[in-house]
Amino acid sequence: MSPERESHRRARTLLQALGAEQSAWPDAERQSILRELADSNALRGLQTQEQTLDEWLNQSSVTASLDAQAVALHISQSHAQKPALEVRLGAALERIVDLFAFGSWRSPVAASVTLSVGVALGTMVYVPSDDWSNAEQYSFTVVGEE
Amino acid sequence: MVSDESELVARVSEGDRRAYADLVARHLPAVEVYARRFLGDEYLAQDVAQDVMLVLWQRSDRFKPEKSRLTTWLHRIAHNRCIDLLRKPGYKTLEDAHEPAAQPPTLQETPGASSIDVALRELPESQRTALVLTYYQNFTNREVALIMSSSVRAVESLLCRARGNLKKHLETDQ
Repeated sequence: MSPERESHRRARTLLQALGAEQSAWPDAERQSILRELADSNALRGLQTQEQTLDEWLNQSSVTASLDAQAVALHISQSHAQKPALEVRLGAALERIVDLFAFGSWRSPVAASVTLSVGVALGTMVYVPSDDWSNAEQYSFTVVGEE
Repeated sequence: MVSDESELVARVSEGDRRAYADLVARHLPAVEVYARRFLGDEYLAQDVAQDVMLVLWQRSDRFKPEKSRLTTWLHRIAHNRCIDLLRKPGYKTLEDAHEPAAQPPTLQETPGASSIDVALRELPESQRTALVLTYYQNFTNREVALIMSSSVRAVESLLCRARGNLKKHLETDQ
């Protein structure tokens, strides 16, 4: 497609997508659309149609009804803020450190935690063979045949 | 404005109620109007708008000013809430729920609704979203694409189809 044709097609698309109002068009493409409009009766006809549609769209009567001040007051007074994940993790770590900082029981607890983690890791990593009995039978068979 | 809002958001995350009230006053009306145009129900739209403002209060640390404007972030949350509501099984607007089952209300009967609001409600969800965000909420196509998790070209295509459908509606009305 030639650059002129492409530019015309682009201007048509933007008019159909964004309407007749120049302020609605992307800044970078406004001049190009205006040039195409100046050269094309068909595009000017389309702009008129889009203008009619814009006027109809402007008749929309939806308005906001909430009282912003009351909403802000209600939410900020009745809901606690939730700290960010980093802050929550930091606080949890601090609590754990505090837990182990004092008390004579910290050594047994630390040892049992380490043992539990080790057992858990071992259970996850070690995968037993499906069926050892078959392997055993096979080895006996080989010995018997000999 | 943007850096000013980033500062306000930072203050909100530290528990500053005045900064929060300032941001709510700036953004609540737009979010409520967006939800109302999307859902067509005043009360559900109010719920969505308040939910969004609650997220702003509780989770303002999730807002990344380098990625988008605050209004884009808030509209994205509102959009997702609206979609969740629409896709809930048995979704009904309160206006629908108050009408007798034998005679479901037509959109034309909604009190106070102008013909354009009725026509907007009849558009497919994605076309309506793109049009409302672009035309009424004044977002750029790039921002609409961000809110809708879509591409700029897809948004342009949705807008063309939405306006095309509205033109047909307008022609039959006249």
